[in-house]
Amino acid sequence: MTAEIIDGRKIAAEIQGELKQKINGLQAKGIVPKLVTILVGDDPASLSYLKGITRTCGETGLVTEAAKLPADATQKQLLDKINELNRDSNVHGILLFLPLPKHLNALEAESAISPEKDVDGTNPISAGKLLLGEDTFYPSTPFGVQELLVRSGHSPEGKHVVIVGRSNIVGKPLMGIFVQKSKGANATVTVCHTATKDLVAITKQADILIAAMGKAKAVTADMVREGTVVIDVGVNFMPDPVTGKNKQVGDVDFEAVKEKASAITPVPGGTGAVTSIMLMVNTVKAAEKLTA
Amino acid sequence: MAATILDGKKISAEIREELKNETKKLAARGIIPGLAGILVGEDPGSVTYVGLKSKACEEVGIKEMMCRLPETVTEQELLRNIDILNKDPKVHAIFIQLPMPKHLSEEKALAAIVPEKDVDGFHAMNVGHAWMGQPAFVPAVAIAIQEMLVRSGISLKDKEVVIVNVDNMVGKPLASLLVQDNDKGRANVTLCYPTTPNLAVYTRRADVVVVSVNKPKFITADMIKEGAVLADFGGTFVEDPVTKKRKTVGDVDAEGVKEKAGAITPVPGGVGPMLVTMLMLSTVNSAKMAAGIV
Repeated sequence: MTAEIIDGRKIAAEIQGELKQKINGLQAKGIVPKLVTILVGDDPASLSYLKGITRTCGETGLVTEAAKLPADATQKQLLDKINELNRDSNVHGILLFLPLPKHLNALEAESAISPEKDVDGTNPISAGKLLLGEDTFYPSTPFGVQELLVRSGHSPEGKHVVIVGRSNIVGKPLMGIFVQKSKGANATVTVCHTATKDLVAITKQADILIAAMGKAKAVTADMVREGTVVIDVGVNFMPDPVTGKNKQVGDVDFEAVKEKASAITPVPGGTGAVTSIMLMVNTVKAAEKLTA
Repeated sequence: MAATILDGKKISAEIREELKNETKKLAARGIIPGLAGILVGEDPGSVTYVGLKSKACEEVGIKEMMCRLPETVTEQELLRNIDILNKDPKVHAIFIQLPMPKHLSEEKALAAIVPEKDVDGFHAMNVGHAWMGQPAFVPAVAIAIQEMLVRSGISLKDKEVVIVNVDNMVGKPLASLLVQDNDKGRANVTLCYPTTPNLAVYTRRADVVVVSVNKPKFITADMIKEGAVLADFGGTFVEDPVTKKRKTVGDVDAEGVKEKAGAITPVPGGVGPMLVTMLMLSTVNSAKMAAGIV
C-alpha cells in the first residue's frame, strides 16, 4: 500500500483563504495586521525564510517589515529594537530570526519580546503558557504540524504520538501541544531522541510518528509500523545522486517509508509549506487581541 | 526478589542534612535564606501543613516569615501583602498555602508572585524556563520524584518513563525535568492520561512508572514488567478491613507488585515526606541565585 501524501501546500492555501476573510474583517475596522521580523547579520537560512515570509504576507494581506541589524550589533541595540517594537501600537507581531551571532544572548532577547506580540512563541513565558494549557501563541512549526494532522483527517485525539527530537522549537512544544485536553490534541505522547538505545522499539509503537531530529533520512522503513501516519519536520540538504545539485530532504527516508505509512508529509511541500502561514495566523490573532 | 522500598523519610532527612551545611556556609557570608508564606484563614489542614513547613525551616536554618491573613481579607489587601514580600530583599521565596477562601482568586494571587520568588514553580516563566532547560523553580512533586530516583542510584538516562498524569503539578513538570539533556534526565518520556486506551501496553514497556490518579490499586502487577521502578503519588483514604481504622493508600497495588517491581515508593512514607524538604531545597537555591552563587 502506498501512503496518502499530506499536501502541505494545499492545506496552507486553505488556511490562507480563511485568514484573508479575517483580515478583510479587520481592515473594515481600519486595522491592518503587521508583522515585523528582526534579522541580525545575514544568515542564509534566515534570509531565505524572510523571503518566504515577505511573499506570504503580501499574498495574504498582512503588512511586514524587516528590521535589519548588522552582524556586530550589540545586545543593547538588539534589546532597544525589540522594546521599540513592543511599544509601537501599529506592530502586532514580532519575530526574531535565530540563530543570532554568537556574541548575543538569545534567551535574553527572546524574553524581551512582549508575550502579546510573541507570534513565534519563543519567549519562555509563551512556552510556559503553552505547557500549562493557557492561551498563548504556538511556535509556527509545531502549530503547523497540528494543523496538517487535523485538516488531513488524522487528528491525534486518543492516539499515540511519538516525537523523535526534543528541541525547544519543535520537539518540546509538540509534546506540550498534544498532551493538552483540547480539540486536536488529547493524545498519549512520547518524546525520545536520536541517542535513544532502542529507538525502533519506540517508533514502532506510534500511531503518529513525528521526525524532528535534524538528520537526513534517519527514519527508515524498519522503524515504522504498517499504517502509521508519518510527519517529517526535517530540513536537510543532500546532493542529488543524478544531478549532483543540492536538494532538500527530510528526516524520513520518504521513498521507502511511504510504502508502509498510511499517510506521510513530503519534503519539500509538507510541514515547511505551512510554517509561514501559521505565523500569519498568529499575527492576525495578535492584532485581533491587541485591538479588541 | 522483593522490591526495594524507596524511603522518602530517609532521603528527605539526608537532603535536610545537606541543606543545614549549605545554610551554615551561607550564614558565614551573611546570607540567611528567607521563606515567606501566606496563609489566609484557619483551615485546619493548611494550619497543620504550614506548621510542618515552619519546623523544617527551623531545622535547616531558613528564616521563616509567615503572613497570616484573616478569612475575610479582600483581594486587594492580599495582593498588597504579596507585593510587600516581592519587594523585601530578605525574602527569597514565597508560597501561598492553598486552598484559599472562595472569594479570592488563587490564580491571580499566584500570578502576583514575582517569578524570582515563585518557589512552587507555578508562574508561566518558571514553567517555560524549566521546559527549555534553564534554571527555574519546579513544582515540588516533580523534583521530589526525580531526586528520590537519582539518589537511590536509579539513572534515568535512556530509560522508558511512563507518567500516568498530565496535570500542571505532576505530569507536565516531571516530563519537563526528565526530557532534558542532562545527568538527571535524558529519559524517553510518555505522558498518559488515566483514560489512555490500552494503558497497560504503555506501562508494561516502562522501566519507570509514575502514577498520580488517586485511585487505589490502579496499577496492578500485570501492568508492569519485571524489575520496573514505581513512583506512586496517589493518596486515598480507605478503611482498613481488619482494624477499621482509616489509612492512606496509593495508586499502586503495593502488596501485589512487591515481588515483581524492582523498587517502589511506598504510601505513606514515599513521595509525601519529600515535599516540604523540596520547598526548603528550592528556597536555599533561590537565596544562592539571588546572591549570584550557583
